[in-house]
Amino acid sequence: MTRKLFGLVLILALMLGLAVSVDAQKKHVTLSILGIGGWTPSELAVKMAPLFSEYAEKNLGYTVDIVGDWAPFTSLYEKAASAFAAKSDAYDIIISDSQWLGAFAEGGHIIQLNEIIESEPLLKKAVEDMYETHRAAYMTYPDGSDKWWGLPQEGDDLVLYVRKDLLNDPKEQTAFKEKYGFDLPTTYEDFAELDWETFEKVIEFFTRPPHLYGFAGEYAKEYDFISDHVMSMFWTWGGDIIDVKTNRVQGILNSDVNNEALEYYVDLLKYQPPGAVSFGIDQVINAMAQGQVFSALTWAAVGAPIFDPNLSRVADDVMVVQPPGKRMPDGTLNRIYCLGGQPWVISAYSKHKKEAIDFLKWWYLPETQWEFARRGGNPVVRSVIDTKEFQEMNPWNKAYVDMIHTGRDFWHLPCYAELLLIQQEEWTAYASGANKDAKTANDSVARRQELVLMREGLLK
Amino acid sequence: MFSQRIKWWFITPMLVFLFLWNVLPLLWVVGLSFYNYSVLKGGTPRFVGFLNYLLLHMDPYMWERFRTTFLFVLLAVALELVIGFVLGFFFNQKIKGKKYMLPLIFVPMIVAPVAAGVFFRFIYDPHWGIINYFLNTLFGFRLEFLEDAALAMPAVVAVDVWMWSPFMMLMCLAGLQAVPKHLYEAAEIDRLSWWTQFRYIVLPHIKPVLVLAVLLRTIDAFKIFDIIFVMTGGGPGSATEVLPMTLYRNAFLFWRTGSASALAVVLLLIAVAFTSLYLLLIPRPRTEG
Repeated sequence: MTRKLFGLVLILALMLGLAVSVDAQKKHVTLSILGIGGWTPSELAVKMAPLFSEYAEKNLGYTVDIVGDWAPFTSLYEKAASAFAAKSDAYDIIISDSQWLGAFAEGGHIIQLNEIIESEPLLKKAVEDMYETHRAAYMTYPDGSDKWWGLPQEGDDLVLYVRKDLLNDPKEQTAFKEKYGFDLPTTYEDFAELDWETFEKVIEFFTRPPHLYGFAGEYAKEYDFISDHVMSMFWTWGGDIIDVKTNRVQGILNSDVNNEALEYYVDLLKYQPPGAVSFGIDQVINAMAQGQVFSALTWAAVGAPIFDPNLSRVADDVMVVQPPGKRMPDGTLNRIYCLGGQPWVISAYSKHKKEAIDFLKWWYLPETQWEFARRGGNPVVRSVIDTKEFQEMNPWNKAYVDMIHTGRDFWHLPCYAELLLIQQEEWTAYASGANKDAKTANDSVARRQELVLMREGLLK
Repeated sequence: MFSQRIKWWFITPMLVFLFLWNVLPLLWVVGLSFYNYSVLKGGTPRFVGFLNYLLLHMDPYMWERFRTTFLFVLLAVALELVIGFVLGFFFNQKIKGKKYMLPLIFVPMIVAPVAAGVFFRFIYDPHWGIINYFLNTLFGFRLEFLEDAALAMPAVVAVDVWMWSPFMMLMCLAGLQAVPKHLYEAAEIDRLSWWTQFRYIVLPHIKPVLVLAVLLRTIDAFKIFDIIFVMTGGGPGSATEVLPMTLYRNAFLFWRTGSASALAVVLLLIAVAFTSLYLLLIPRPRTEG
């Protein structure tokens, strides 16, 4: 009896030991993500990592840690490009900006995803479930080709934050009608039909310095701040920035309609607080959150602080709508705004490509996309974002989804950084009074950008 | 013989270090400047001779950057020299509490330039900046120091002057204190005017120190990057876009390694030219004979 019992205990101990040893042999991976510091959607990718760890352990048979490394928008490109130039395996996944796809792809620093997407049913399904606008902006290089290099980490677009408490104040409504002869727009639907000419009257009405100004937009030279807004105005005015077939800029970027749009956008400074000519994303959010402005044109992704009562004085008083359009001669409303958002790309030097792909497969699972949305991110899978539940989840969600259809992205050319800096320089020079008129600024941008494109052999 | 050898044993590690850390990278940069190469694009560097230099020469925007940089250097160093000299002259007198005041004056010099940049960004802010608070309270207007293309350069120059005038003062003070006292006494007896004393006694004695101070500050101001990067990013437009920023953008934003190397070599040559000018200007020690 004792011998049998001893034998049983021995067998159990051996089995336990074996189990422990098998568990100890379970692969452990550390995935490293480089993202945008202080940018909620980027940070959520790492904050949600424990969920992936659970998923990987349960479904993929390995344990995983995800570590994040951060750089602000203005220096993320340099950090990512430096790692690539050194062929470093420091980052497995990089949250890139869509404009960088060309530079990273041409250098062979990121892996092409077509075959991977084709062979992974989960990814294939997710990509098919995205809007073409997102596929074109976040995945494709060269423009118009079928080559995919990234997947959207988050979607984003320009939306308009407005003070609904002021719009719904009967005294304001009466005063406005007396002054302009028509009603203040008050609902989401009213703003959906609003053109710039009408909206300008609204912001003029609410410009009451020094305590309240009508509007805040981005005009800063940093990164792409003024470009996002000026290019949106060009497109909305019916203009363009480049001929994608020939890469010609002259006659397109400096067209009369673009000159008019640039002049109009800079002219809006008169409805903005002092110093608005150096406003970037942070300053616009602050101006809105502190109740300094009636309206702010900025990204859907940065809505959270405006609605956080700990950070905002107007947390309960803001609604998010589509920005105004431009009334065309035929009476239609044209509204084309810059897309924000970022793709993520897999480093060609990563030692954990398979696990990085697993991570992305997990990211596009509906439950992960829902969790991302619940935490304040902007998912891209249509089965999530096209639902009423999603569009009512956060105050900016509906405008985010509606603006996808009117979204357009920058060029994805490898020399994007130079093209961008040229227009940042010339447009901020005009906004700050150094360039005498919009035509001079746009002519200079077009001439300088074509020289860069010519030097790079991209001009046809 | 042994002492000769041991001398080399001591010197060689430093020479090897100097070669690996200074000379070799310098030669590498000079070499790269003759190639069309991007470290991000990779591929084989293509020899283009002096093309990178020629393109720099032909680029009108590069000349604009040179003008902006020289303007910054000229304004900053001239003001620092004048303020530093006045302060040095002041502190060369017998003043009560001098030993407490001097360390305070040196504080800006030990502030990190990036911190100073951020600090002054707030000071200049059109809304809550202290300068605009007083302007608005006293005169009813505000100035957009960093947002106005005409004011941005003076605003960043002022920060550099705030930081580095104490250095000039220190150098001037050292020079002034080295002037032999008996010369002043002789001048007093001869009833020489203040200007004559300054012209014939003070200036000849402090000239080498002043020239060295101006040279050091000129080379340093020519490399200005951090303060401007933090305060204006070279803007608005290109109002404060100095050469080191252009070099940085070429090297690490556009990844035009060959072109950036050519610009780096040009900047190096300018620094060498300043140093040579110093060697020409500095009075040679008189040989007793």
